[in-house]
Amino acid sequence: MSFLTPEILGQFIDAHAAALELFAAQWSRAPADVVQEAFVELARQPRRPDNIAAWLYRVVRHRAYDERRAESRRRRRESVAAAESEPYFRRSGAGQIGTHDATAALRELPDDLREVVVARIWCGLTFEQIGEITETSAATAFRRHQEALSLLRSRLGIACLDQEKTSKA
Amino acid sequence: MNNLSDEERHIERLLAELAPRDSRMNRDRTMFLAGHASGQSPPTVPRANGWVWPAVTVCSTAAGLLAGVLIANWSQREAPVVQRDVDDAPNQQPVITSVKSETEAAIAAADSPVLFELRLAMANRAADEFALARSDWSPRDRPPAANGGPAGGPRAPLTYGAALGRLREDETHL
Repeated sequence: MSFLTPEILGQFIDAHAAALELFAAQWSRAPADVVQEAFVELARQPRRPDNIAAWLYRVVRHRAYDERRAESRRRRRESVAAAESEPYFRRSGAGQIGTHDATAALRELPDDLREVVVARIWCGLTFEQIGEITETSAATAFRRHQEALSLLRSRLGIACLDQEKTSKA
Repeated sequence: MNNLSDEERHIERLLAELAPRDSRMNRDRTMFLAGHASGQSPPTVPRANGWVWPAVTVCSTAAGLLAGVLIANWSQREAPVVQRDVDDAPNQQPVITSVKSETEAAIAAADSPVLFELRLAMANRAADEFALARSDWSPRDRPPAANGGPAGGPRAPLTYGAALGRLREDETHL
């Protein structure tokens, strides 16, 4: 008998499904399927993981990696092109950064940097959790996050904080 | 650890304003599949004592192999042969040699041409003596028995010269 009740599962889906799909979209062409399989796998566990969110991200990462390897073998060009044209983010008028620009900048990042910055900013994981998921240390995750922010800033043309203050004044 | 600079925090804030797109996962189907999966038997977790039976299997196999090797070696082992020369060296310890080595030495010695000649000479000599003995028991020299059967009294030992003379006599009779 699983520890997972329908109420708990529903709460986790509402809270994490979108971020998990963004995390899986880095490697998989069908991130929704990957996330669904992760939730089903969670329901199959006889014991509750220590940290369910971290467990879900780890499972999603492994499955997305496997799916990418299988995808590269199948070489479905059409679906790949369609999936790559979709932005990772939804439109919102308040943001300074465009959704397509942010998606393109993220896609240009190396895999090891991108997964850290996505897990940190949009999934809300700590550097310890990220290190555990990516099988590195927390210090390595932190260093990669700094490097990714620097690259994103240059690619997205984000002005320095001082310049922004002076322009506002 | 979390010592990001103000500049980096500013970039984080700007990026965090972007919200991930809505999930495309079918929520109801996920709930159904999860409920179905939770009702199934849990995945087999390896027990803490799961090594016992493999270890027993390995040990018994190893013991069987060891016993087989020992039995095979035992059957091929050579029986020791003890030789003791009592007359020459009564206090000497018995010499243990192998049957195989003695056999090989005998075969090697039998191949020697000198021994072959010696054996041939001994055989010829034995044949001569046998012939002489037969001639010594010829019916011509035997006294007649009372009941007509073969009989003979005590005889003097036959010398080599006497035997030769008797042979010559036989030749002249022929």
